Amino acid sequence: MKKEKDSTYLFSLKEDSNFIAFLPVGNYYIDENFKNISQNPNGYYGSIAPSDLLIYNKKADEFYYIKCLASGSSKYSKEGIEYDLYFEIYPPIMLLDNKLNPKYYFFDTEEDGDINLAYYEILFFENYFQINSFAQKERKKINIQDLKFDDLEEVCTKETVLIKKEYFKYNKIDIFNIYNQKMNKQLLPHFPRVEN
Amino acid sequence: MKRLIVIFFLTNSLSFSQEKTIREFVSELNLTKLVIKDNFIFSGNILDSKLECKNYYY
Repeated sequence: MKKEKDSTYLFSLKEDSNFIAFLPVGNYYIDENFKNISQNPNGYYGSIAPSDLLIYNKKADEFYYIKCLASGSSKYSKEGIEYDLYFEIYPPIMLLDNKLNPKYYFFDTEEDGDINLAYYEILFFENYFQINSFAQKERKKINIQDLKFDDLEEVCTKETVLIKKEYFKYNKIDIFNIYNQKMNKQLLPHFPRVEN
Repeated sequence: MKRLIVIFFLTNSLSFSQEKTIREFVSELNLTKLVIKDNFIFSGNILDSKLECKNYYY
C-alpha cells in the first residue's frame, strides 16, 4: 500500500474482554527510525520510544487517547526496531467517539495536590467547530488517573460550570493535538463570544 | 452450588479490566516490547488523523 504523508498507524498492544490498547505511531517516526538503521546497520540505541496510547472501550464503543510523557527506549538491530515501551500518564485524557472524533478533553487545572477537574467539550458543525470549557464548581481532589474508564465522563462532567465558549474555523488540525495547540496559543478562536 | 461458583468466577474475570483504574490499566502496559521488523509492510486501513481542511468562516 502506498504510504500516505502524516498518517498514524495503530499497533495493538493488548486486548482483553473490555479494552484494546493501541500504540499510535506516526509514519514519519517509523521512517526516521529505519533511516537510522540504514545509516548505522551495526546497531544504535535510541532514547525515546512512542508512548501515547489509544484505548478502545468495546462496551461503550468509544476511544480514549492518553497523552504520556515521552519515555521508553528503542534499540536498532539488523532485524528492525525494538521498542521498550513505558507509559506515564500526562493529562489530558481525550474521549473520542467510534469514528475517532474528539468529544471531551478531561484534565486537572492544578498540579499542587489541590486538584480541580475540568474539561473541554468539542462540538463539530458543518462550517466550524466549538470548544466549551467547563470546570467543577468545587474542588473534590479527584485525580483523573484514579478513575475507571467507564466512570470518566460521569465523574468529570458532574457539578460543573461553563467557563467559556470558543468558535474555531476548520483548518489542518491534528485531532490528537488540539489541547496542546490551544495551550501553546497556536489554536486561536476565530470568533470569540463572551457569555453575558 | 459448585456450578454457581464457577459462573461467578467467569463473570468476575470477564469484567476484571473494567474494575481497574486508568492508572492501573496503563501501568500494566509498561515494559511492553514492540518490534517492527525492517521488512514490515504498511497494510490495512490507514487512519487519517487530520481534520478535513475547510476554508469556511463562521
